[in-house]
Amino acid sequence: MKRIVVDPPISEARRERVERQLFQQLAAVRVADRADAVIPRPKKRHTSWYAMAGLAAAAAAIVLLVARDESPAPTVAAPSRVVAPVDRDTQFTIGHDAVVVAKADTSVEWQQATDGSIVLKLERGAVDCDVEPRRGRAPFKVISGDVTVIVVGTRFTVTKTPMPRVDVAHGKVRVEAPGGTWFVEAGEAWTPVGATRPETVTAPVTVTVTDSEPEPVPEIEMDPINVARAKKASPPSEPEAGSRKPDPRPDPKRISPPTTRELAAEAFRAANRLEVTDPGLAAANYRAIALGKDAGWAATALVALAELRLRQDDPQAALDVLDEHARKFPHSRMREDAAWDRIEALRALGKREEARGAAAEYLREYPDGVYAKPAARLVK
Amino acid sequence: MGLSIVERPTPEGDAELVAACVAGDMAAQRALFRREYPRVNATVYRLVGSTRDADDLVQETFIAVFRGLSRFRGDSKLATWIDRIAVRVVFHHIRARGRAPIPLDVIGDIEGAGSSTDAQAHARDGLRRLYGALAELTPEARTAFALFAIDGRSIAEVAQLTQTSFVAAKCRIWRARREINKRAKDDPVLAELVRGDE
Repeated sequence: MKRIVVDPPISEARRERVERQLFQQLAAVRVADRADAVIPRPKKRHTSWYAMAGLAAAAAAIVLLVARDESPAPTVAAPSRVVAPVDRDTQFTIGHDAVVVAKADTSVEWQQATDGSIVLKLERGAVDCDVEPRRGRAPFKVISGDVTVIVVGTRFTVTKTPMPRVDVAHGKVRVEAPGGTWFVEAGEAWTPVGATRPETVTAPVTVTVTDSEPEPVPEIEMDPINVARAKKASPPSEPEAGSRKPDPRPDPKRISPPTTRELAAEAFRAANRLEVTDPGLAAANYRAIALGKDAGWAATALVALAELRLRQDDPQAALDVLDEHARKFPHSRMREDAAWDRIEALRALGKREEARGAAAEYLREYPDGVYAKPAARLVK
Repeated sequence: MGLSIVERPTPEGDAELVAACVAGDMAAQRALFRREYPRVNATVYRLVGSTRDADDLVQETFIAVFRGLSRFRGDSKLATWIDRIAVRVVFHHIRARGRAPIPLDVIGDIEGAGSSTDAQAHARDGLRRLYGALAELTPEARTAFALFAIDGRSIAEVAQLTQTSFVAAKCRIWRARREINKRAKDDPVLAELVRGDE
């Protein structure tokens, strides 16, 4: 497929308009920041910020309502409710150390307690929280019906509707729920098996962040995980301070073992994410998947491992893995990718003639393949 | 209207500019905006296909950039870091919007479409159909495909910008292409746009 050329309309007036509106919004943010510095813990600081930012943007409809004090903890500030419009997310900050994105059509109420702790009560939808480590800071909690997330500091998403769910982008959390305790790591998600409606989960579930290191670059949730069946962990010896005690009675209807395919898919996605931060562990994960029972994911993992080796400047290791792929999975759906990876590995090894031969073979098998053009160039 | 080529900033320039922006230097912030705007605007526009949405999303991107700049450690190029934020902002927008059709209020001139009014109108019709087809894809596939086939990024860049692996990015592009081609079978205008060189 050729490059589809789409050029943005170039207009100096448009750029100036965008620039003017942008710096108006930034000015509003600076006003709010200065207010934060002068008045510690203001009651309606964020309400003001939203009002200014919302007006300046003229695009976000942020509804802020001051409601009655219904927090379980004694409070020093009235709760504020943020209702994100149905067609877009709404971002807000709490203090200097928490950025919350209320997903489209989300209603969330936040409140500050006497001990300085922040409590978000999720009424519907989902919130994506990026919270600084709580070392020395006041606690940060998210309550979503029966699910309570107690934050030490990480990036995670709590969803209430259509079903309870916790996604962790950074760090590692412990999920305590009826039936056991699970560790959920970065890139994984937790949701009760079989729960299709919010009311199916009635017992308390506690999620505690046990380790975290916020990334300096904002993350993109490009591949939400359908269902994470995280590694089963042994029960904690002592409940976390402030967390809700889980119901010790297991409920096999809600927590059922995942299928082999689900496990393999989950492990593959986790390995994918590890490629950036810990390639060695990613490679180990791919190897483990390749030894698994699910042939489809095993073949895919081998090709992914070969490509990882190529990026690590180890073409010989990549070739070895590709040979293993060809031997074990001669009819794999990843054959085309593997064929091209072999060409790249041969080129990286300086075996130009062999690479040319492999390219010719690729063209014979995949004349309209994804890599047909570069392969044809190689053959020439 | 040709493609605008934006030079990537040098690391030294990045460090100085970032430091000045973090220190609250308004002139530096405006300089950073003006330097990065053309590329960010082009990428965002190509992802959403609408100037109206693009303007809002470009603003959102730069607000996120300036608010997060103090956390930029220089591990990657500043331009890449900004592009990742832009892609994230657009991705959330696309996901929130769902599969509703995207209004194409303005589409620029199309390279290779000829200068006649008819040719331009024909090409614009093709783009409308293309973005209509893109709206049917998953946000992940749509973003990956648009970055690759429209914004001209390599698969490695797509993987980096969408923070996924090379294999995953490639799979998404491939799936999107398959869907677009499927749709193009019954749509000669779209077919002409996406298969012009085949």
